[in-house]
Amino acid sequence: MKLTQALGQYLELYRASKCSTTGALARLNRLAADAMPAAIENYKANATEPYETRLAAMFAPDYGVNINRVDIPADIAASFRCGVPQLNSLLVVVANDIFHATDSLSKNMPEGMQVKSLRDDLPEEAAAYLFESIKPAYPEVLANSLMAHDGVYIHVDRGIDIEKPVQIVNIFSSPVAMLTPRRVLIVAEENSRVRVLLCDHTQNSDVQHLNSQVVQIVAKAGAQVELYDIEESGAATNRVNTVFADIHKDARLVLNSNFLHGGVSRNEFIVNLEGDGADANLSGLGICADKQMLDTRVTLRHNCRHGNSRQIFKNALYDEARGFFGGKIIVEEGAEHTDAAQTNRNIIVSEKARMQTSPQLEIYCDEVKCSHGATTGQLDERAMFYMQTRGIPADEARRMLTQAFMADVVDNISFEVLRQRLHILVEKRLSGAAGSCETCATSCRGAN
Amino acid sequence: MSEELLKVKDLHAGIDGKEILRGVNLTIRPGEVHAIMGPNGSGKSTFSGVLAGDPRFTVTSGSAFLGDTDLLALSPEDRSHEGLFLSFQYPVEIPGVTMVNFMRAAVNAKRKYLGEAPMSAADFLKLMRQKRAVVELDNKLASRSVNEGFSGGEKKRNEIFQMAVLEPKLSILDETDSGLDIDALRIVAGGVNRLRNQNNATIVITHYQRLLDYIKPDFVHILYKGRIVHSGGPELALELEEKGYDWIKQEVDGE
Repeated sequence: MKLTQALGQYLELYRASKCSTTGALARLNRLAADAMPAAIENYKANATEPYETRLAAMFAPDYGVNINRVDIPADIAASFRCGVPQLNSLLVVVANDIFHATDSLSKNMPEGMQVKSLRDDLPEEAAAYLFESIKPAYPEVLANSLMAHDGVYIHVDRGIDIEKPVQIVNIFSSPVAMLTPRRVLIVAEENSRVRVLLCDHTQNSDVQHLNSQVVQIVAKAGAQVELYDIEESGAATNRVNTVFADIHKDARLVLNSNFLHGGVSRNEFIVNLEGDGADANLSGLGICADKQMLDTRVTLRHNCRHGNSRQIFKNALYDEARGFFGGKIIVEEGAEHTDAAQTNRNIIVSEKARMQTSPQLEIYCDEVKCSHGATTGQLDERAMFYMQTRGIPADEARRMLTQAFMADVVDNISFEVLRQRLHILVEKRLSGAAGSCETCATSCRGAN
Repeated sequence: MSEELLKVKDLHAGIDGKEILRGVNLTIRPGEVHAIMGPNGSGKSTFSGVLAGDPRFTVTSGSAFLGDTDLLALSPEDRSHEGLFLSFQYPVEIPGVTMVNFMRAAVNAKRKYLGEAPMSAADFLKLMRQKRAVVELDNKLASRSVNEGFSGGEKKRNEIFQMAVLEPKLSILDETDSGLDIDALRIVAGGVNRLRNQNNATIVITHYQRLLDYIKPDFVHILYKGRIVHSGGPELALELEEKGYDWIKQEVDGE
């Protein structure tokens, strides 16, 4: 199916239905509708994509859209309360595409912070950020913007350091195939700090689901924003996720994305270092099995002096899984003393698994330090044999080596509770846990 | 129960279609130490690799039994469980796998094979402590990745430590003396001697007499061009040290 038809069906739906949104979201919907036709044309002219995750294919199924804002039963949403006491988070549940505040949020909201629904009254500045996502280069973001009727808004005042992480638990629960437009907007004012953890879960793992997500991050001068993402959804849940981050003077972004289970997952990270001394640390791991597909794209734009960026993405591919990594670093004119490094390493565990990697550097400036490296290979056979001679069975040796391969991505996480938990999640996943909610170690539900 | 701990008969093996072992025969009884010597390229490391199940080598004919167990029919891990141990000439570095996790996996895999429950954490730590003492291995290595950043001496001591933990019936020490200074050599050899008893046996593969001053062999074999061409007592090693391998080469190649 062509992109025109794939996205056109949602445009028709938007035009034919009475939209429930008001205020900023209504304007966002309208802007997206207006921009869509040109964006589709633009995309068709320029797209070079691995076939697995072409937008046309991902948006082609006839998904239902929750125009009437039908909420899922509250007990399902409630059952996902996070049961890990150490995390002690400010919890938001996004049930399909509807924002639910929880007690942990309303009772513990720190001074100088707001976490609320995008349907609430938004300051003009926040609305303006939402509208900035309307760009002809990203038809998938337009599709999301067209249908978005809720989302999460996080704002931290100047100079405020929020110790408690905000945890956004995305739950899909529907008896019928569905597309859920999800939005997150994080604005960190000057010298503030905030950490956000996103987890994806699926209630009905056999029902087709497209998670369309757009996350926008604004880190103003001296601010630090950390976004961690754990995808552990059902095999029938596909995801098109776009993260925009604008990092200003001496501000810092930490972005860590982990694919443990799901269907086809396409993740695009567009990071702009806008102010001198801006810093971005991007990392991610993917454990893909069966026919899962993980597509990770990074566009890291250095548009300032003394900018620093680090990227490390690692994947292990089993069975007939496929992976794609497209990492682009752009160093703009005038971005002197840029220091940028990108690493992508992949292990192919099975003969039928495939990985495609495409690192790119575009440098329009002298006096920069840039490096990139990409490798795709197999587990170290000498290490395998060594372990086996000590009596460690081949399967376990393979699991231990894969876990070791991923270890530096996890160790790189400074958020300690999450780091420990992710080590366990990776181990469980490699031990063959199905990655369903029942086996998930995040204990988002059931532990209360 | 066979009196023979290891019985290798007419073993032929090679790599990438090239034959390296061309009919090795060797019998080892419990309590014995056998040294295998020979010039470079004679097949010493291939022999140890084939016994341990190194997938790089292909066995074309012959047999190798550990007691009543057909070694060649087993995976490397099961050969280990049955009591075979190979101390590597070049121990492999495994970044990201800590020594303690590595050893726990090894110990519990063997227990599982023997139908026993996993070892408790307390017992495991006690075992590690006891066995480390055999080769004076520093406790701080336990939290490090396997062999990563270990000195040459630490790597070899680590091999003997693993041997002490696994308590094999037959240990093959492949050039354990290479890369060792005299102090480390003494510690490693001392460890090996402490682990010797009437029920187990050791194969020492080496180029030099030096190691055999510390680990006294009962038998010395010379491997050349893929065959054991000469066997004798400890005096054979001394003779080699004195005369080199040329006389052996002449004897064999002159035929």
